[in-house]
Amino acid sequence: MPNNRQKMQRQLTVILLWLTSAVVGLIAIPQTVDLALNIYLPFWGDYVNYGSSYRGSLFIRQFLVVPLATLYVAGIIGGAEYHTRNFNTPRSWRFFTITFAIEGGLLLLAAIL
Amino acid sequence: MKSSLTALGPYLVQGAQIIVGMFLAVAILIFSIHAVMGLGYPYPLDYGEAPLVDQAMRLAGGENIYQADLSTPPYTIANYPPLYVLAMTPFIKLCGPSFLPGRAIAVFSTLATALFLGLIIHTHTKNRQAAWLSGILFLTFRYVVGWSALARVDMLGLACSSAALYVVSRYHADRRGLWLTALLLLAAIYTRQTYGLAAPLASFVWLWATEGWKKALTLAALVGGAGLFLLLALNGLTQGGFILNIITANVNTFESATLWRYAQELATRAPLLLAGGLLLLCVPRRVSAWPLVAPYLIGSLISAATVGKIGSNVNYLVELSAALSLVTGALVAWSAAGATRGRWWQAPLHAVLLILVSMQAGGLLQQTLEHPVTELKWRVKAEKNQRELYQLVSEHPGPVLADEYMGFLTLQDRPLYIQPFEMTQLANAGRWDQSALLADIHAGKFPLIMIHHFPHAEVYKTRWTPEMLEAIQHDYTLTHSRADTLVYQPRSAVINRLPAEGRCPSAPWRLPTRSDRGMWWFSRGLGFMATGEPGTVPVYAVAEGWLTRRSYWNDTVAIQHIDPLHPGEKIWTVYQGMSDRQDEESFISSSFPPGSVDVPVEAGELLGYQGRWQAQNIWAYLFFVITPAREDGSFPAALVDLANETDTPLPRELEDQGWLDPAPYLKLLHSQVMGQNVWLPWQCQTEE
Repeated sequence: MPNNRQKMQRQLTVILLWLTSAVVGLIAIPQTVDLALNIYLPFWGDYVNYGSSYRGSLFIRQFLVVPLATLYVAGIIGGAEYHTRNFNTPRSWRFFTITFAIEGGLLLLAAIL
Repeated sequence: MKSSLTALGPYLVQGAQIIVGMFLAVAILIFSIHAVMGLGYPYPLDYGEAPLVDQAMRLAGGENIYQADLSTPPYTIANYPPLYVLAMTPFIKLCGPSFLPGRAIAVFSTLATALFLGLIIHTHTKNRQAAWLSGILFLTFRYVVGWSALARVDMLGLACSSAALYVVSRYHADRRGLWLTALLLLAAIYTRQTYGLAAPLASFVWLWATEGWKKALTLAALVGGAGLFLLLALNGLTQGGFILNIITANVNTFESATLWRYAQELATRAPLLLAGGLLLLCVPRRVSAWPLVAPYLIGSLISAATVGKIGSNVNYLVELSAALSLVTGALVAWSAAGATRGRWWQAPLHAVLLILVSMQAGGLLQQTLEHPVTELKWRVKAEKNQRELYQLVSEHPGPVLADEYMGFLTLQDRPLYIQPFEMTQLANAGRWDQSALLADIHAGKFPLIMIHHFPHAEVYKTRWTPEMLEAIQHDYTLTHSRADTLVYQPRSAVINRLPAEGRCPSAPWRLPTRSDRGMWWFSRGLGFMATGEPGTVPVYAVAEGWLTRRSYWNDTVAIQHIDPLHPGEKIWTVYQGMSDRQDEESFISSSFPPGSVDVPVEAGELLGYQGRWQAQNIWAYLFFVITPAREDGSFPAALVDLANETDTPLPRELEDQGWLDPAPYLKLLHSQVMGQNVWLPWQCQTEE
């Protein structure tokens, strides 16, 4: 059984990890939109900032932001609740792993593509 | 530290697996969009598509595609063994000529190859994630994505050879497995001859390592014996045409610079995969699939080295892409095995390896987006121009010579008259006498000749001999330019419209230069483009006048004239672009040094030479403008810097300056839509 100090340390770690995931997730939203555009433009983009490809880019940007923001809010609030309920269990740590992997994967993809 | 890493290890691996999965999902997305775009495009995407569809049409009609006699038309070469064409023939016979069946075969073959690569890794390692990784990593290579949507032989051959590797891996102890392996290897070789090295070598070594030398030699005897028998039989049936077409006609000149270029590209774009290959070769006893994967890698590297042949393309690298994907899968599985039952550092190391593979896949995807995806996009965006070319071809019955777009003939159920690249290479090697074709060109036998000019690369010079180009130049004239393709028609059809002795009939002025590659009307002036190297095509004064060259004009002179259409008024002609844009060397005559003012010149006096056109980079070019003088007769200085071929919009305050249409002065064809960039043929106005 962990003593109080260890418990507090772990609580602090969870809060820090959750906060970090919230910040990184926020950064990942525009990066994900850019990633979608970086895939869209080589297929349909044009040299000019008008016409169907430009409108397509605008549509993607506006269309993606709302669901991504919704996902973000759901993920962060839901994540907080999940970590509270499953504090210091493998399920909680696994959830952190998945969260950071998805956020890191999106940032990496956006940086490379 | 050790205990922390031991505890964190599984989480790190799981996270890395998710990241790999995300990269692979993006790879599937990009591959799928590209494949759908390629499948849906009705016109040719590559030079090599039309000959294969043409061969399928001829096979459907019961004709021999491997001609032994190349002295009479059609001057066509079937570069490859017949399996792919045979696979396409029933569809062509049923649905008529189209690129769709051939491209669909290629797409499905690519997916089948990815599947077999995964199955090979799974068979050897029982690691599903490594199997998925190996298969999908194959779809990230630009060579694979680019070639997967083309009606070309390569992907079917690769699917057969990877299927053979799977069968020999899975059923190596079974006699039927041996026969099936031999059959699949034979199918691969009879789809594309270069598949006769890597996969057969890998199968042979693997069988030797697992079942002993007798079984390995049996496989070699089966493949070698049946292959040789088929070769001799087909060569006999075609009276020597088979070997002439698939071997003799394929021995092109080798350029080590091309090989070096691709080697550098691989080293910079796939360094981790190459390092993985090197590592795998060094650990023969640690990786269970080593006796299969290592010889396959070595064989595919040797095979890829033939990319240095003139006319070769990235299809020579798809087999190497498959080998590198197998190597990666084998190494990841090896690393994963260590991570689950090894020391404290092995799980974090495996996670790092997965992240590195993800980044490598990302780098390859970036290259795929830059090259095949973007190239396909521009092809598709030029569909309107291609439709116009297609229409033009349909309006001209009879034999048409074409290169990149010879597929328009095929789509119209018309046979190819010539495959210019193949015949040019044979002519260069002294194995084909082109004199009959040259005589036909001189006689104006072809209603159209279409020569494609890739921007920034003189590919057409590998597709047409200098003699053919000279004959076309001599007896044909350029009438259309669409989709980077110049369309020539017999000179006799438009002889009364061609400028003679540097002047159009009844024109007040002579012409400033030659422009046999047509003119671009850039709304404020004319771009003249000529055959010949920059710095060799002379530029002359259109009329007598007084020349000015400001001290900072490297490529421009301007001449003041009395306006022949409005006597008493003064106008200026501007000759811009007379320099090599690469090294800024000026091509202006030394008689007119910088700082020249009011130097008298005569009509027809040499001013300099055409420069390099930036848009094509390899064409000679002159930009010619006529502008009214200021009230005092002087030159409007601001204009020189504004007048260029990118057609920068004129600032509103200078619009009143007025740009004069050169057509009334030169009597050349004029733009029907002023202010719109348009290509015009090098022809005079007809007398009303």
